[in-house]
Amino acid sequence: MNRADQNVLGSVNIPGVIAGMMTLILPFLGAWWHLTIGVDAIVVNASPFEVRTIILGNGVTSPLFEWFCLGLKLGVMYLGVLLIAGSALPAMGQSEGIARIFIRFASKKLFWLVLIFVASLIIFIALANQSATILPFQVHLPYLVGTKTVSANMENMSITVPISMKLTSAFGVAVVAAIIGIYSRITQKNM
Amino acid sequence: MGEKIVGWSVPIIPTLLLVSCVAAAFATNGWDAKATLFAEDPAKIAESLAGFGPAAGSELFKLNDYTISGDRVVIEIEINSPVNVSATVEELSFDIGVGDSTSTIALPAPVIIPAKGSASLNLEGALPDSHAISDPQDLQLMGSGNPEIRGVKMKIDVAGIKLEIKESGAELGGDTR
Repeated sequence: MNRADQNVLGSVNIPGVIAGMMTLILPFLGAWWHLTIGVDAIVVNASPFEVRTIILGNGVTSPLFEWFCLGLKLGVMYLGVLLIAGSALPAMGQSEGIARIFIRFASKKLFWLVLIFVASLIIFIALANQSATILPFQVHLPYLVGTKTVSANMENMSITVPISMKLTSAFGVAVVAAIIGIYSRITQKNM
Repeated sequence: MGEKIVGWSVPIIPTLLLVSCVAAAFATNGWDAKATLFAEDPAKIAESLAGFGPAAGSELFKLNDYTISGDRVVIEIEINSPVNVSATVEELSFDIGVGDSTSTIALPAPVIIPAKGSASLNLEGALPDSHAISDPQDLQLMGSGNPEIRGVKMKIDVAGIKLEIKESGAELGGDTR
């Protein structure tokens, strides 16, 4: 590798490129969180880009929510493109100012998206755990990850419901991409 | 100057994308707010999930036939599942009146009901010794001509959710003899 190539590589914000590529593919990696009630009585696969809810074999959909998730998907892909462009522009001899704008805008957005997603889940579960006022039995769901069996006895009936929640590998990729995205901003400042 | 333009246009693009998608959602559903929010009528969804109401169609339980042979009574029940997942009737038993006594009729083995399907359950039981004869008149019948059923106990597994029901008295719908 000659000195010119080394100079080019030295101008590339490598964490930014990695974060950008991970952010670009993130909308296609599937659900971030999986909830199962029963074996498959109720199944929820959730991510910021798609929420699939199946209740007793019937899919529950909302066109508005699907279109909104498509907007988020396109937005996150746009962030990935900005990260890659902002990381590569200095190496191409293009405006470093524009590169800085790209990295500054895109580097933290995924982190906030992950945070808002986790906070939304925690609020949803907290509300479900407060459902004693509308259900005849108390529900104590685990937060984000875990399994629990909810049992209730009513007048002539008893019901046992296994509940399982887990975070998926796609969520792990999102967290790693968010962290590398923030690191790319620090790298850009030091370049 | 170029950096200024880039600086204010970069944040606008994702906002435009989101707003465009929300507008597209309404536009593709004829600007109808209800149709945009819900793909199907929420009342119909609730009905189909509960399996009751006009959308349910046939009865849940139907007594097809009962036979008495010697000291054994066999009751055939048809169960129609309203849900779109398979269910397993793990246990089903009830008492029927025979003369002054009662006889417990039970399902010998678990039966799987397919999604939105039906299954026949043959419940068997032994008549009390003093009524080990084939006289159907001794079987206590309700006004409809069906056996009077008491003390229904049922355990059913619907896609992993286990339901246990214990009732004191019930009548099954079905053809009369």
